[in-house]
Amino acid sequence: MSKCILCNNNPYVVIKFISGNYLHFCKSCWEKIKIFTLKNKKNKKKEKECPVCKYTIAEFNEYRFLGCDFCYEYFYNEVISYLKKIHTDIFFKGKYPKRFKNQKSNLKKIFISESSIDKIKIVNGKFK
Amino acid sequence: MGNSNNVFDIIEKNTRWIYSKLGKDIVITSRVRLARNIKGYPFPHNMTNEQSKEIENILINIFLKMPFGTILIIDVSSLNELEKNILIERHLISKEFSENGTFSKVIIIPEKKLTVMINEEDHLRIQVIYPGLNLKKCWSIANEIDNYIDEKVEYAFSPNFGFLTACPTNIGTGLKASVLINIPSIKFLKKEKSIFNMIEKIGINIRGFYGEGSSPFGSIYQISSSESTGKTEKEIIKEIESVVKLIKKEEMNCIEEIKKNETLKTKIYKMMEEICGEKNSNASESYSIISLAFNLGILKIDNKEFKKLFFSFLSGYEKINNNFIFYKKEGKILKREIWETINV
Repeated sequence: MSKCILCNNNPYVVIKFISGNYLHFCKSCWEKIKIFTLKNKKNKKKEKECPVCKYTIAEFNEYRFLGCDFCYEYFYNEVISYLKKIHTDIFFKGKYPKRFKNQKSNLKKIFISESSIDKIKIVNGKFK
Repeated sequence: MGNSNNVFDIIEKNTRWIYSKLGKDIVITSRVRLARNIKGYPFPHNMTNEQSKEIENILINIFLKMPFGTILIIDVSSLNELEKNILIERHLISKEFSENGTFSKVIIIPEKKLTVMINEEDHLRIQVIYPGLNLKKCWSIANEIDNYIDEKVEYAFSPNFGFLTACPTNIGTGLKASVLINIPSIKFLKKEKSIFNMIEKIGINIRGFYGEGSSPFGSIYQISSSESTGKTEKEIIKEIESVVKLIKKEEMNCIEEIKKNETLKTKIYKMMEEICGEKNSNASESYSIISLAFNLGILKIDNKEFKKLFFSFLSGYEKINNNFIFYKKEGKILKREIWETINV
């Protein structure tokens, strides 16, 4: 079963990110990401920053490096448009590591848009 | 750790495989490199010292348990210039890595012709170098090692992007396939520009002797894949192999053209005389003519002597002086032999 993408603990929720990937988070990490995302929305002047490694979009634009693996999910749009400039074809066709083969999740898949994050109630590990 | 000579000797003896096929074949070495990172850690440029140390410990412990005979674990920051240079000359580490500072470990497993850099641009750079043209074998071993490590750690990976790397130019397969080729006849007939333009149009890179940002050494260039995604690993390798076959054919055609042309052969003789003379000569250009003369049979020395010449030129590459052939005792004797060979 998949573990929390950030701390490897048992997952609490599966979130579909804008990239289309389903990412598992434990309760504690999900709370932090939720708070971080809401804070960023309120403080519109602050530049986009990866919640895990604090690498900023400005640093990506300058150095063309990313800070950690989570940056690829968090800066998905910016990364995709850069990749389209440097690669002829960005569709991945190579080998997969073992943990991605035949992976199944036991948790309910939840589709969340940014606007509904603050409307979710969590009761006993299940979403309402 | 013992005296410096021992460290240099250990590295030298255990890495001789790299140039073992240096000779008349245009392909000197084949290389496959895989870039990998461990999930949940920042990429090397964004890590704390503590995190760098953790990555090192995780990876070194994995390699120590591999059942492959001799494993050398080298702390590059503790090496002197000579020791670093031999690793760079044999393409086992990059120049940037040699200047990394404290957290720069390289693992060499001679039995597998494998080198691993820890915390270079990515957490892990797996590299297999085979003498001559043998990209399939390089890939087979790199894949074997990659699968072994995959059992022990969780790689940073996304189904959207593939294997995740610090620089997006390496994402996807994380694979770079390259060959070092020597094309003295093509260079002598000044055909390299048109050939390289054609190759670059199909997305293959032409680089210097040490890869990106370096100059060619004589007529030695690096041909490498540029795309790490949008293709399978086998497709990337097949592409390089096809390009090498084309270049090989062209080099053979150029050799035949020179052999049939007395004016060109006389020109080569004269250039060899100048190299063996007392004049100030450029090491890189001179090596190109010497390997041309060797391939044409004008320079009658055996493979062993040819290799000796290569190494003496390589070491003195950046420090050219008037008597570059004389700076070593062996070189002086060799110079006389070259002269006599031409005059016979």
